[in-house]
Amino acid sequence: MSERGRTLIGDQDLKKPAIKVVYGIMIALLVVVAVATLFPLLWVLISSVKSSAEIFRVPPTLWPENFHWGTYLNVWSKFNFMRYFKNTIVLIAGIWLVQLSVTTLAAYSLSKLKPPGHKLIMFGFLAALMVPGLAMMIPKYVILKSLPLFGWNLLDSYWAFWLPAGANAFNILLLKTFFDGIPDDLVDAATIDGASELRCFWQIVLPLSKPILATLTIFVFLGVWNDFMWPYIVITTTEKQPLMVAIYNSVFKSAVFAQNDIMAAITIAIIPPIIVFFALQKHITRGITLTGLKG
Amino acid sequence: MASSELKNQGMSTHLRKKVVGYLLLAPAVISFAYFVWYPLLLTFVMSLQKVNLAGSTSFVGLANFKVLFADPVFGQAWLNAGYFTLLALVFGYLVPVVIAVLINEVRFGQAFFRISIYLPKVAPSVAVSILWLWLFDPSLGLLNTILGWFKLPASQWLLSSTTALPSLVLMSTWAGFGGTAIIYLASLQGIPEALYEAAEIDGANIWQRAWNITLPELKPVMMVMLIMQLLGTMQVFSEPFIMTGGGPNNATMTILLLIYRYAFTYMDMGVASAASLLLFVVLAVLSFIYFKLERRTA
Repeated sequence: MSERGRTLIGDQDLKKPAIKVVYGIMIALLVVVAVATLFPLLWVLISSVKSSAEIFRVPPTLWPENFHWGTYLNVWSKFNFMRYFKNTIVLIAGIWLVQLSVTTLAAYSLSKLKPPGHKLIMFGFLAALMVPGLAMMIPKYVILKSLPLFGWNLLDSYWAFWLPAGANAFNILLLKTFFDGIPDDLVDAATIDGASELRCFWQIVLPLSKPILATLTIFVFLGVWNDFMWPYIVITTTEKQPLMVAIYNSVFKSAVFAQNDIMAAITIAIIPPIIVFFALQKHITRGITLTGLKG
Repeated sequence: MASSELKNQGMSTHLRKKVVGYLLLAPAVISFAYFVWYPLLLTFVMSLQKVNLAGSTSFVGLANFKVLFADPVFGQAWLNAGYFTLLALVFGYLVPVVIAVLINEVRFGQAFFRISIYLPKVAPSVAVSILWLWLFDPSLGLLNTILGWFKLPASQWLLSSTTALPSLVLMSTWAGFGGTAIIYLASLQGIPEALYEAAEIDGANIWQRAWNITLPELKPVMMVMLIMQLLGTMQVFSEPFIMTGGGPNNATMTILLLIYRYAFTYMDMGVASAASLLLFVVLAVLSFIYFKLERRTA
């Protein structure tokens, strides 16, 4: 914490006894908050290893009497985790590919090529930010049921997620802002040397954008992994569902699984995003400050 | 000869830049046309139509809106949104501000506190909902056990129409405060040190410094977060869907849940679109204010 700057309470203040007491209370408060935040997550794990008898005891035991790791084997054998992991990964990969290619190309054009009318187009993109997410589910459902001009029914297929992935105003705004920070001279110099616009994008702009692309990749992973409502509405065939929908439908809603099984399934589902979070924390924090305000 | 060739090349480069510019924009424009602009238009059109299962449509004027306004649950859903917002403001709004200030002041373990409060935000909403259903369980749940330690009366939590919505607010505060606190923390760290040093030299005590420096510096972000919270509240969906189904007695019915019910349970896309359109208008106004504020803070 050597780079910690001067804040509200200075080092001088901390020498006064009254301030010391306040500081102690502050730390105690933070510890309470940290426990209150972490314990519910830990509770999932604790509940998952209790025996079927112990989990229904009143009042609940705070620590398992015996660790029944067998619950995990039981859930793993009755619920096809690997299939749903695979479904989720396929879903994420497609969305990632479409979203990042469509939005980076568009942002590059808006930032560096600026064809006539680019301001109007940018305005059209930004207007999308006014109506966020699920509020659009009805018209989107109708459109995916019969894609205008083509008549394809994309419901119950991953195309219902891959095709619309490019319509992401937030990414375009973010990437355009980032590209605006790359000096035009760098791009112009390359173009005069005979490099085409595309090569310039590929060899100069993209390598410079690695950090922001990494951040966006994490957002795609976490967003799609955790998503529930829209895939629940769109993907109706059980075998095709992503993990979160499958856990809701086939574990939580099913009579086959007991409470400790359900908790074990949730634990398994929470682990990947938590690993990603710990491994790539720096990118996430940068993402939050980069985007200013998106949580 | 040489100069005209150069000129020609210049012209063609210029033209090529335009063509490539449009080509690179085309996929995004097509995506937006299909999945943003057309859906917006379609909501408006469908709100004035009767859409039956076979897909045939007929113009019905404002009949869908009449159905909606005659449905007491629609009014209830907006009231719930208002109540949810009020509770979240009273109990949840200041939590991230205070926690961010505290974390910014401690001289050790900052990284630990930052990570712990952010973790719930990483957990999927399905997992969070199922976990909290378990915590809220009146007889087997941990929450009533904890109340028991302090000799407090047990609560029915989600099972009673008076406590169901406050329970959801409690859960969403737990799930969301860390993400917001991180944003406040970033803006706290942007406060110039010189401001505090100058105030200290002028003899201002800690409360005066907090009131005259920290709070004013946070105020713009707090305004933006207020709008963000309103936007989020209007769009609560998966938690009540999984945990209560909108009950008991519609006490946790949200606008999106009602739209979902009209569309997929009653199979009435027209009324669902009318409700979506009204939601759009409210969300658009809130987003507009948000962008105005954010531009000012950026």
